[in-house]
Amino acid sequence: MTLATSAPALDDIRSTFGFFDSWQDKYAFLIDIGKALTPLPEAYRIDDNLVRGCQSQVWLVPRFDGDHLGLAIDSDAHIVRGLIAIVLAAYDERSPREILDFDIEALFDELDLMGHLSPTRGNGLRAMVGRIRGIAQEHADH
Amino acid sequence: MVVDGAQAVAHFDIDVQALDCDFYAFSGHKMYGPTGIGVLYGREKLLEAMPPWQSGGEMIERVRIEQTTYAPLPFKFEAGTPDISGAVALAAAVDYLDGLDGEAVTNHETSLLAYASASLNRVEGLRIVGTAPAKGPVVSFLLDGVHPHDVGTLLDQQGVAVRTGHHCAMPLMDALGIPGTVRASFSLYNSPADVDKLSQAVRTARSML
Repeated sequence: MTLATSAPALDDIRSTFGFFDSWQDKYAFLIDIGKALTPLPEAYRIDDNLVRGCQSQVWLVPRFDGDHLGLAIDSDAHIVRGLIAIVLAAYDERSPREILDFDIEALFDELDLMGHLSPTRGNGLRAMVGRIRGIAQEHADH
Repeated sequence: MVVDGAQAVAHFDIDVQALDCDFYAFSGHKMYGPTGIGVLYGREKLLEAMPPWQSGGEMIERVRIEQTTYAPLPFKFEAGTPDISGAVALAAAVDYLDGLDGEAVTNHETSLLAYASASLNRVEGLRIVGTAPAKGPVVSFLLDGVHPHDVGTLLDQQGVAVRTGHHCAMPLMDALGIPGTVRASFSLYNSPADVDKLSQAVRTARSML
């Protein structure tokens, strides 16, 4: 089966985040884009797909379409799903080289995400990024 | 019998003789003292019978090639340079709590617990986890279909500090079939206005989620 995602475009996320002044509004937006993600079917929500290092459960299923890495990611927490939408906007359907070249820390800085996430959540987000970059690295070497 | 009293010492008067425990341990930071230091009470005859667990300065009485003897209690168990500033600060916290009317503290916290439980029970879709009649001043709860970390994040944004997650009791959470809970804890410095702020913040979080 095809695992589709439905994350907004990165530019839309950037401009919407820039538009909101309060973090309550930003969280409401994160929750909204998280809820809009296509849920991962139950069959994929298994321990083998769990991303280690996340405090909430995060399942990640990679697939390759030609040389592009497609990602299906889901979580049991709404705000984490919102963070997943940002990660997908940055990484989904990109080549391993594009993924490795993309400066996601600069994006997190621009959105001021790390300053507003708890340290454990920030570490979980980095664990997710690390897993994706690891997959990209394996395929970039081939 | 070893009692972990970390959660109790700031809320109840503790009498280790009445409890008749062999050991009673608690940490400084749960009783308004510093982090990284705690107290272990032990029955004297057991402590006398126990060998030192670590060697270093101050814990020896006489060292000879043939035989070494150890210092009396409690020095036998306090090798090396102690956490002096931590101990002084912890003693200040103990004196502070000792200077309060323990029964009044317990009554204050019990009434906050009752008010918070009633107040949170009126939030639609909220379920309190753990309702033992004699429990300490804590309310663990869940909002239907919402991960406790999400609730915690939104409460944090509204200036309400709670603990979220498995509370170091993963097997219990597994047995209850839940990922964790949101836990509000009340203490002698909280007021009914804090409970109102908590309830309102939970309602706001619920509307956002």
